[in-house]
Amino acid sequence: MNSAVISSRVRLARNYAELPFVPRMTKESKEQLKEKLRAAVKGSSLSMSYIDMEQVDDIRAGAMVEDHLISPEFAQKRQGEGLFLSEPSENSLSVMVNEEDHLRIQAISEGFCLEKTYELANRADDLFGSVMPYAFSEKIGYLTCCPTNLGTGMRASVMLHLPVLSETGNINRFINALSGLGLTVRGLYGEGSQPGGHIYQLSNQVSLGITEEESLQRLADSAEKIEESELALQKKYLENISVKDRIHRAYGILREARLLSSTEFLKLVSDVRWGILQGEIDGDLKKLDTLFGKAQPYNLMLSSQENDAPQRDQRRAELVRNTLL
Amino acid sequence: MLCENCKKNQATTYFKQTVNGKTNEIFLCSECAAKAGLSSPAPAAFSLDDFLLNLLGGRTAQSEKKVCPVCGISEREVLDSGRVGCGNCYQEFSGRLVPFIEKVHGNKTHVGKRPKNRAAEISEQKPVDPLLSLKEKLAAAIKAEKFEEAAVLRDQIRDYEQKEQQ
Ligand SMILES: [Zn+2]
Ligand SMILES: [Zn+2]
Repeated sequence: MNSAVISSRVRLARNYAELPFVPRMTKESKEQLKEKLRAAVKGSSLSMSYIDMEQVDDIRAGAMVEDHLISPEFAQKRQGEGLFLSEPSENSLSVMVNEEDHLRIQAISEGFCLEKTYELANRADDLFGSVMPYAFSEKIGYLTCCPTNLGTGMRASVMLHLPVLSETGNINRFINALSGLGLTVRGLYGEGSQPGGHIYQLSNQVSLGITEEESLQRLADSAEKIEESELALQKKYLENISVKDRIHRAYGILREARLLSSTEFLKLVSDVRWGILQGEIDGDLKKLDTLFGKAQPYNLMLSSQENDAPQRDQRRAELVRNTLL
Repeated sequence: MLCENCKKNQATTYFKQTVNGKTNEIFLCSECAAKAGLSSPAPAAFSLDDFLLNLLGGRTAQSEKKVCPVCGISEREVLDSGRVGCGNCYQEFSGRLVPFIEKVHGNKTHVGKRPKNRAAEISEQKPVDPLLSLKEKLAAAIKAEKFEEAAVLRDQIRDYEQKEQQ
């Protein structure tokens, strides 16, 4: 279903009780952990491939960050780290080994489906938890390297496209209200104060003293409210002919441009996205949403082997044209 | 009033955050407020975590030489980095960590998932690779300088690998 929510994500932080946490591990014990997990996954029902991060180059690592499969910190270090990845699909699973915690189990789904996404991460959690006992305390829950992740160790989030709330500054009203619910909002893809493409990430900040179900429910309820308000504003804005004109012009440029910079692309794709959502433009939202990752610099470098920016802008325009055909 | 984070500049921003019914109040200078993402109209980095951790580290004076007997990390290091060295650290440094945990989460007791029964889980799966556990034992023996034991293990591994190749 079409929604202002682009994707849903659930991440679980886990550590094994018998080992020191990652900052206190030796190179050898990191290697041993990777090997042990590799063997366990091989013999399990999870079909995931293993990638040794030390063998991954800058471009591939950058593209994985753009696809939200790994964290920027994980991409930068690439020492003693391993990664389990499921086949790319509507719901994908990635498990970072030796990030800040021994395990960062992460499930990502297209669209708005937190429950299903949690179930995917939860199943993987049970499997990894059967390899060795987790560091867990009845009192403060799963023991994590950073105390802010204690309790469930869960960080769930939805990626929202909020062009009108963002442009009108109304988003700030929500941000203040959300902190009272233990939720936070931040802009994605942004440099400076203006998030590129008006994309925001809403996530839970509190993980201790709240169950996974309740946390997910709170997040879903808030996301729904924000979405409702965004969609109502969009409808109202589209009554204005100059706004309508802007949306259609954006679509025209995306379909015809021969050069697209990253900034221009994000601005235009944002306009087109809500034009489609409102039925103003006849297009495929699912296809369009793939562009948020694939038109990013590292993904372009990976798919086209182009390293300089002008060439990349040309590739970006090509990719966008082909996707919107 | 001075900024509660850097304690150098004059505080210009008052920030209030309510987490699960508990309210934290913080006075900040414009620089620190910007760093915590509190001054820009759009939310840049709205995470208070690092910022709160900073606050926690900044206020310590004594007891920092205490060391976790399991992982060897000092309390000072934990407070500076905001990261513990092992699960035992939470018990060892509970005096400093518990108030902080309560402040961040507005709570101090876990209510969610618990790890599944291990034994039941394992029986559903294939056993762990025996070669791997031999290699682990070998590494441990070498580390402990038990070279006789290591030699035996090394031979066992060699036998095992040869058998597998056939
Ligand atoms: Zn300051
Ligand atoms: Zn420790």
